[in-house]
Order: sequence, then C-alpha cells, then structure tokens
Amino acid sequence: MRRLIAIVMLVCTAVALSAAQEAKPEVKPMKLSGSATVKISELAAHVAKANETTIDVQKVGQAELAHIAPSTAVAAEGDALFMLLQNALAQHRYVLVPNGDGWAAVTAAEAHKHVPVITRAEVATSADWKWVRVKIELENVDANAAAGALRNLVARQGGAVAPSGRSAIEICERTDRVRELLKVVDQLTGRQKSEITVYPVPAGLTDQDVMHAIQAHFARRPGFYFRVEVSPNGSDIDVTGPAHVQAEIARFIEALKE
Amino acid sequence: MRKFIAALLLLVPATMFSGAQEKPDDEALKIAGVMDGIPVVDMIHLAAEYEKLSFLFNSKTVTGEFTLVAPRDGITVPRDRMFATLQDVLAQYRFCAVNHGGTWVIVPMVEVCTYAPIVTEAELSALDESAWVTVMAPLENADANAVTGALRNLTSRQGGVIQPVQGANTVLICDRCDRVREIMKLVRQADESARLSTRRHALPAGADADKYAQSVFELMPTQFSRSCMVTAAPGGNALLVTGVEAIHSEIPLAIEALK
Repeated sequence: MRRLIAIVMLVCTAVALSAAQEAKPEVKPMKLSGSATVKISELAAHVAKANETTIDVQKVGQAELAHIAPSTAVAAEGDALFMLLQNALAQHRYVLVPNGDGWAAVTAAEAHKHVPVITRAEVATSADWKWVRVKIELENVDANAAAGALRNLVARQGGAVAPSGRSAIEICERTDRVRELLKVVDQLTGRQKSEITVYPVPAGLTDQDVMHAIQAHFARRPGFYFRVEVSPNGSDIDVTGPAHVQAEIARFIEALKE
Repeated sequence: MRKFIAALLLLVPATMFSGAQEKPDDEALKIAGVMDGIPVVDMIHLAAEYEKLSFLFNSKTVTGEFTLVAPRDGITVPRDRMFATLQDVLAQYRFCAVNHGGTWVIVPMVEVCTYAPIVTEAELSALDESAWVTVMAPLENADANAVTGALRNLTSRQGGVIQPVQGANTVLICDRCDRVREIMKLVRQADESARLSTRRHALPAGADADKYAQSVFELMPTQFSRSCMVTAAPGGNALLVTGVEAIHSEIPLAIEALK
C-alpha cells in the first residue's frame, strides 16, 4: 500500500511539474542580427511575453524602425528588452510608463503625468529604462541656477527640470539620464561647498584691521561669496566660503604680511 | 553606387550580412576612385559589422546618399575608424549616433545634448574622438559669461552648445569629443590669463592711502577695472592690489603719476 501511495505521489508530482512547464514556456533571449525593420507592436508583444506583463502601445504600435546589428548577433532579454522598446518609442516621441499591473506607451509630452515619483536614493536601484520624477535637495547651489544649467540637457519632449522651492529641483527623465544629470548637480554642489578656514592675524596688525581689509578688498568682486569674522581669541580670522574663495583670501593675507 | 557595391563585394566577405562567419580581425575596407550615390544605411551596416555595434533609427528620417572620393590607387579605412566615418556621414545630414542604454540611436544633432554622456575633463582623453559628450568646466579666474561669449561661435552649428552655469562660474560644453578637446584648450588658456594675484605696492611717505586707492582704481584701463581691486593696506603706507599679472606693472606708474 505504501509503495502504491509513493508511486501515485511521484506520478502526481511529475504531472504537476510538466503542467507547470507547459503553462510557462521558456522565452529565449531575443537575438538581433543584420538589418531588420522592427514594428513597435511586434517588439512590444515580444517584450510583454518575455517579461510576463502587458504593454499597451496604442497608435504608435503601427510605427516602424530600422535596427541594424552585426551579423554575429546581439541577444537582449529582461531590462535590455525594455530598454530596446523604450529607445524605439523615443524615436516616435513616446515613452513607456506604468499602467496598472502592466505598461503603456504615452506621448512623451505627457510622461510627467504618469511616471512614478521616487527619492534620490531610489535612483540607484531604479532600472535604467524607467522614466521617473525625482526631487533633488541641493546644498550650496541656488535651485534656479541648477535648473537653468540642466534644462538644456533633458529630453526635448517629456524631459523637465524645475526649481522646487529655493533649495531643491525636480527632474522628470529616464533613470539613466537622471544619473547623468546628478553628476552635474554633484559637481556644482561640491564646487560651492563652504568650509571654515582659520587664518592667523599677521604680526603688527589687529584682527579688526584684517577683517575690514578683507571685506573692503573683495566687496565689489562679483560672485565672490564669503563671510569673515574675528575669532574670540583675538588672534585669528575665520573665513567661511568655498575652496576657490579661500585660496584667494589666503593669497591676500600673505600680501598683508609683506 | 555600383562601384561601392563592387568594392564591398570584393573586400567584405560574402558572409558579412548572413551571419554565418565572423570576419578576421585584420580586415579593413579599401576604397578607390569616386563612389557616389552610396546610401547612408550602407554605412550604418558597415559600422555595425566592423565595430560590432547595434543601431536603432527611424528609417523614414535617416535617409540620403553620399559620395566618397578616394585616390585611384585606393586607401584603406581601418575597421576601428568605421564608426568615426559613419559619424562624419551622418553629420552631412545633421544627424549623429549616440549610445543610449547600450544601443546606438541615431538622433538629430539639435537634440544631441539631451543624450550625450556627461564626462569630466580628465575623462575626455580616453574617449573616442567622434563621440558626442558634455563636459563641465569649472573656472578659477575667468568669468563664465565672458568665456561663453568668446567661444560660442566655435561650437558645431547644430548640436554644439556652450552655456554658463549661473552662480557657479562654470561652463557646460556639448560637442563632438575632438571639438570639445580643442575648446577646452581655449577655456584653460582664458582661465589662466585671467589668473589674479594680490601684491603690495608701496606709497610715497605721508600719502593718504585711501585717497590713493580710489585714484589708482579710477586710473586703471577699463579692460582691467572689472577684475581689479585696490584698497589701502591696514597699518602701512601701501596699497593692496588684486588683479591680472599685467596690472601690477601699471600700478607703480599710476602711483608715480599721482605724486
């Protein structure tokens, strides 16, 4: 009896496994070689099947693109397939955005209404091909200046950069592009980062003399932002400002010693 | 066109587009004489095949033909120059290829700055000269608006961009890598020539340092006055002057004239 039960269980397991395999046929990576005309609806159907999701491509599905790859073929699967579809849609000014449990192609100009809002920390884990909106807090950089610098670098349709208050900006773009734009933000932030440097008062001068000399000398210099104060010990001057400002003030104090 | 196809048939293995075999590494494309009416798409094929790249583009917009003129004896285009040649061909039609998520997409040049990777000045030397890039150049001395104005005419007419970043004294430059390298040389020269130094200049005995500072500043030529700072040195009969190197030779002359 036990043997019979064991055999029945084995047979059942085998049947269940084979049924599961039939229900989930293996999708091979898409191989692209040579020259091909790709219809967006067909590409979307393949991406949907390979990733077990739904993709609504609406009118743009009829559009076609040329894909030329080496004869040795390149394989695409998973995120690479989504990226290929996203690139194909971009050629026709469409983007792929979340739509319920699946995805939908919408005109790029409307992307900002559909894309998820994520934090700066989440940018690191978001897939390259996904369009996102992200708020970036700025340190030491004016939001209008940063937005102005980045405005030319986002997609002509769908891409957006706008100041959000005085010390933050909002970017709507594809994740891989957002990462590139963050390089600009980080460089600007790093350059404008203020530090406090303590300078000893040169012999023969008072701290007030030196402070007033620095203030008077650099007062008219455009874009030269710093704060100077006398230390409570009376023998030092404290200057707060970014590195390039500190370098020039250090040279000025050297000239005072002569 | 026929000559070009004949050259392809002669020099590129018949298996090139069939995918049956890979070409030997040392193979190069030889072109000779005048070859006109070559479709742009053929050049894309060659770049894909020789440099193992994938291209995605709208075949309705990326169309056209070009002409190659080579010596009758022929010249060889190395396989690693095929992509650069494609970029030159695309530029004739105001298009360029940019890497967008692993695939090379062909986009109008006016939009390339929205795709071009953002790199540092140090990374420029290692990049392919025909790739489009955006570089951030922080300036130490020169004014970003002035540098932008001076160099604006030197960028590519379509796609080339140079813009100042307000408040950070930085310029952003987008162009082909070889062009950016040349522009960066000028940016660094401009920045160096605007380098400021601070020096102490002695005044005649008993002189009123504050009045001298005001007068000397007003005597400065206009090209210096924007970046020049002149103040009385605390506790001493001298002026402190910050400005470009050339200004320090002018100060003693101004002091002498005011005596």
